Amino acid sequence: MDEWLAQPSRMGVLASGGAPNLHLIAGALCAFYENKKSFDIIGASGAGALAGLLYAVPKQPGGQVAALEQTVNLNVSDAIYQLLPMNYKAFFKRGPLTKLFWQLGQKIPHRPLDRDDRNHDTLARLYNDAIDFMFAALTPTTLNYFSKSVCTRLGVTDDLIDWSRLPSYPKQFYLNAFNLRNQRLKVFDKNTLNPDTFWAALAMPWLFEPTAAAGGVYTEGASHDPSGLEALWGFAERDLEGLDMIIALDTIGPNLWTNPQNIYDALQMAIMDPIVSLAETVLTAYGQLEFSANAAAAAAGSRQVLPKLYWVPFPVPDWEAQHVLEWGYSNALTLWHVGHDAGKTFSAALDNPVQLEQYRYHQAGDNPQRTLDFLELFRGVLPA
Amino acid sequence: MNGRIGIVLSGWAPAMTLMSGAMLGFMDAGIEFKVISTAGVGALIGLLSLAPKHGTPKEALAELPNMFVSDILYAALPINFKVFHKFGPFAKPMHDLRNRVPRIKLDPKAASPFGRLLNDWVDLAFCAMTPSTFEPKSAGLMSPGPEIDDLVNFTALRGAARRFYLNAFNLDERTLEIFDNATTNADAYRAAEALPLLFAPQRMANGDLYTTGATHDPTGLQAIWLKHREDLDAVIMLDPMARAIWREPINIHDAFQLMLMNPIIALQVLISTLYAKTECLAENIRQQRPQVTLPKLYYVPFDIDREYYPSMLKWSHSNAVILEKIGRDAALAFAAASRAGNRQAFDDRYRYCNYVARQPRLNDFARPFARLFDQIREARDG
Repeated sequence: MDEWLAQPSRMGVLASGGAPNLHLIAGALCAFYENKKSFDIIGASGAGALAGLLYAVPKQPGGQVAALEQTVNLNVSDAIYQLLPMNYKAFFKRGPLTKLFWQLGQKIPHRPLDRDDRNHDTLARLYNDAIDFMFAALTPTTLNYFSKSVCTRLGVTDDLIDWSRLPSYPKQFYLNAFNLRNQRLKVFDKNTLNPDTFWAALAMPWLFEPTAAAGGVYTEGASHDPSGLEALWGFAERDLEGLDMIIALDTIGPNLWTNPQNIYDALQMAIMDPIVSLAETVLTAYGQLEFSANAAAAAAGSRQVLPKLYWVPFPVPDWEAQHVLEWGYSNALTLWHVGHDAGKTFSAALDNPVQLEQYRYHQAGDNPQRTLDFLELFRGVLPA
Repeated sequence: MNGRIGIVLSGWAPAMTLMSGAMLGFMDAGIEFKVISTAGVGALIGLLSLAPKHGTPKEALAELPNMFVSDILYAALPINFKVFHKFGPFAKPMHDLRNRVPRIKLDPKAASPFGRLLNDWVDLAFCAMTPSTFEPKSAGLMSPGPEIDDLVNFTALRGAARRFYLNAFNLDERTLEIFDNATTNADAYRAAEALPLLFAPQRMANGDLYTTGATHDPTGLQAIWLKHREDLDAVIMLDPMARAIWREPINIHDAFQLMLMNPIIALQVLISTLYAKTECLAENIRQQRPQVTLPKLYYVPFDIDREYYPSMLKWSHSNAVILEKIGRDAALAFAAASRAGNRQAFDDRYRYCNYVARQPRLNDFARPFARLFDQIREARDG
């Protein structure tokens, strides 16, 4: 364990939900690790949890950097994705034989993927993904009208995380889930997180059945609190008091709001649209309120009363905006590098208070119009 | 309840008769709304309450169960083929042709299984015969319904004394736009209903593309705080019924609807909770700052058995009639309580911020902000 990783930093980070966010967040967290930025709290939601756990307790020998770099391997070789735009490596057919077929497929030797070839869609990747595709296609399914989900969960990423080291991780890790039994958010911490609770917290309705774990029946927390912020307040309030800042890694946000190119795109937009709005609403409200409360405290000569909210934007290039929801390999690489560049730039800003303030979530009059309209709700109520 | 009152209407399309029933109840109780602000399918209920094309608002609202499907047909084919149209340019001409076929006149409340089966069989036949141009590169599964032109008189809406709003999200500007009496037309309505996947984004006269506003402000409250914070005393919302969505699915169709609705309902609950907290805070500090205004938020609770929750998402006629009665009864009970004269008891039960304080889940939503609100209140008091 790196010594700097265990030192208190008074910073928390939110690894938000939404599957396309995974590569953006993995890239950003990799840059933070390379720049020796640690976080006293990681608050995760949905797919952001995988990147968060790879930052905290990766299993493979190369450590955090290698683990976070390899998230892109979850996506599908472009040559196959152009013919079949689905991620059969992450979403498996529903049925009792799915695991068996997947295990059979894994017994076929796969080609090693050289790190130096990471930036290319190589023949080795095509070969590996073609084997996986063949076994996915051969897998029989029992999906029918009375099924409760379209996919079966396989713990394909379980081997990437060192679950046994998680309880002794020197900082705090939280992942939210929604308990259908009492209709409340639940937060799993480093002592209660394991493969069962992890997958329960990622059980997105329709894709996966509600999952029983730890005395509850859970669906994905990201459908209720994709930012991960609300859950922290419910379950980690004491830890939050030790923070000066919370860093929100952006959701895919405005890049999502485009004219869908096809029906599959439209499906992903239908899933992500309200989730992105939900995250934006929570962060906007908190950003405005902490800004007002801290400004009032500063004016009264008091110390900071709440963690300041900062935001790492992911400037996805225009040519990529239409593709952010795709599961092709080249898209994963682009998003990963966007996240990595953003993390590197933000790491530098952390050492420069003036520059850092440009990343404050609340930007007063510079907020977009939809944010200004929402913030009108609080007009006159908050300190000027 | 006295004074200047507004109502916000939003909800899930299959449960739209909860809203129409509530509006009928309010009409029976003599409660009039100065403002009707809507999101998603709430727009249809609001428009029928203000400017129906045929008959009175009460007659137009009472007719809605006839838009639902015969129970016999629905048991075999759980789709509302009467309001959802196949993708492509043939949807409207086939709809017009279908409307020329004579139907049996049915009382919207009556089960009339035989007559309803015959009528709906005609609709099903036309739906089946409609050619579709759907293909994988289509941006939506269905074409927007042409019914709105048959149901709403948009010219009358422009002259209506009461204010109407619906929201839609402008994809070009990435802004939530609010349409009012003057700017709402059939295109705006279709934009407000354009839920991604079900419908492709709709192009408006200004050339911009729009999707539904219900995935950004599913409450309709934004129009209240932007345009009516000074001239309304109270605003009423209907029970979001989150408890009926946050449950286990019973089949794959149900699971799909729950997947779509889960975050929208969460957003609805979050925004209404924030609004309730803010308006209560505004009320507390108004003595010091009279200019701080925000209409009080009340809600109309629906008493629905847990066992019935999955049925609420069905497009069957019987479900429409059941929900309409529940909505109407709830509105009448609300109106009776408001006139009973016990302000304290009424506020305890129907003021939304009091309800939020009693509900653990809503408290969870409010928790990141509760401490801030407390600090702001203390700063004001102190």
